[in-house]
Amino acid sequence: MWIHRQIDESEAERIISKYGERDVNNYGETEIIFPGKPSKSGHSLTDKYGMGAFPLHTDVAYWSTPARYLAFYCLNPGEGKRTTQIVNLENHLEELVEVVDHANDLFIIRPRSKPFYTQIINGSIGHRWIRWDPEIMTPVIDSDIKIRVEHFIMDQNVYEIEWESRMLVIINNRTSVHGRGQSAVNDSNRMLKRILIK
Amino acid sequence: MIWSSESLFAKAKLFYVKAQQAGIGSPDFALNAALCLELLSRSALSYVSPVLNADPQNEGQNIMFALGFPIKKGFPRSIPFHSVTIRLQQIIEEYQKKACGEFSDYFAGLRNEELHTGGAPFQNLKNAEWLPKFYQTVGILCTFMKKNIKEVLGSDYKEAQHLISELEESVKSKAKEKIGKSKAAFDALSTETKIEKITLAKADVSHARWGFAIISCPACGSDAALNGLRVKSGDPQYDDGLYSVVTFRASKLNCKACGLELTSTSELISAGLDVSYTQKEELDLHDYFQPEYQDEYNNM
Repeated sequence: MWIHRQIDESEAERIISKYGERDVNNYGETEIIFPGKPSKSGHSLTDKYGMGAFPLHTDVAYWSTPARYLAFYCLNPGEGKRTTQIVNLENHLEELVEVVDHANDLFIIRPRSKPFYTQIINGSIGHRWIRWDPEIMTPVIDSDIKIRVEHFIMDQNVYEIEWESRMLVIINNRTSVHGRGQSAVNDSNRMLKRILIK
Repeated sequence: MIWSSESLFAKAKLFYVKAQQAGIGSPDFALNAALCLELLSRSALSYVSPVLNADPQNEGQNIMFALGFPIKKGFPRSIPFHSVTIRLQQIIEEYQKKACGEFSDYFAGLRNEELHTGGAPFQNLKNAEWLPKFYQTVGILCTFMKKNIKEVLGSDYKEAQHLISELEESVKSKAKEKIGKSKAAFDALSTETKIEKITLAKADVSHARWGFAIISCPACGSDAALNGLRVKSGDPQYDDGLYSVVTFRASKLNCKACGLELTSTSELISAGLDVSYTQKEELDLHDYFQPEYQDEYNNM
């Protein structure tokens, strides 16, 4: 995870460009996200959780290969002081392999036009990466696997990003999971720019 | 993308789970294992590039799909399984050496008979006839993709490793046994017959065929023919004509003198033979460069 404070948007763009080529989703190369934002697909976390907190997840887990990095640039931290929680699993992937057990690691991603089979633990030995979105990944073999994975993630250190204006945070989307925290007030003025990097 | 290596790998696992659920004594165990092998083989191709799974016909639409572009009309089509195994033989040395392509084609043939005909090919098939080779092929494909065989086989991986070791041991002893038998039979012949057979073997026309090489037979010492698959073509060179050096990997040996036949690269290696050999291939200057000028000709 990389954090840069008090930088303007052009400086943020320059830093982001060093991480790789931008990927595009339904909203183009850059998306402005805010609590309660209506989704185009009807399958977003906002559709389910509204203004509440989001579970820890991989962004765009429904892509064939999810974006490698995620960049968030804070335009406005909002009134609710809502944090973003990040769990870096990079040094815990082999432990996660043990928890998951390869034999049980099989999921189907359904709520999209082209359902496909996938796993939590992907990649090769020494170059593992994860895909985790409990909302769209349905276990095929072991229905308890979700509980084990969620417990494992919750047992790790959770880093809370307390947003400030002009703050840039970049995370590895394939080795960490993130989720939006709670807010006691309606904070739809909390605005972040989200950029997906291949 | 439905041809991504990870997604195909996950689905291969799904079919192995179905095989396990059917139970090792059930014909459905072999059928699901065959489906698992096809998906795992395609996953290995996609590990190099999903384009290798694309049927090159349809004006390149399938190739475009493999590269992430939506297909204009219809469904994306992949190459037939036989083409998958040919490609894997070129890509994975161990797969070719251990004749995994031949096994995969055979196993896919049974699967096709099961799915496309009224026959029941898996009904009387003994596990000993396919399971060790299946596990060996799965292991080679997993190693190529830098994955653990356990990722596909789950709790069966220990039994699989045991069967693979036994299979590899039996290939070695089989090769030695074949050589021993041929040598004993040849030694028992009269001197005149031996000379006659050695002369016949020397004059064997197959020695001169493209892709064949002459070596000394490990059983009787006569000229024997090696043949195999073309695995690499060198850059064009010029020496009184354009040519390139083609490398072959042997998969068969045939000796016309003592009758010895070794039928896989593994057997050849077990017999202590060098399985790589090269031959010069003459290139036609016109054929070699013409494609670059094709567009210009058409524009004239």
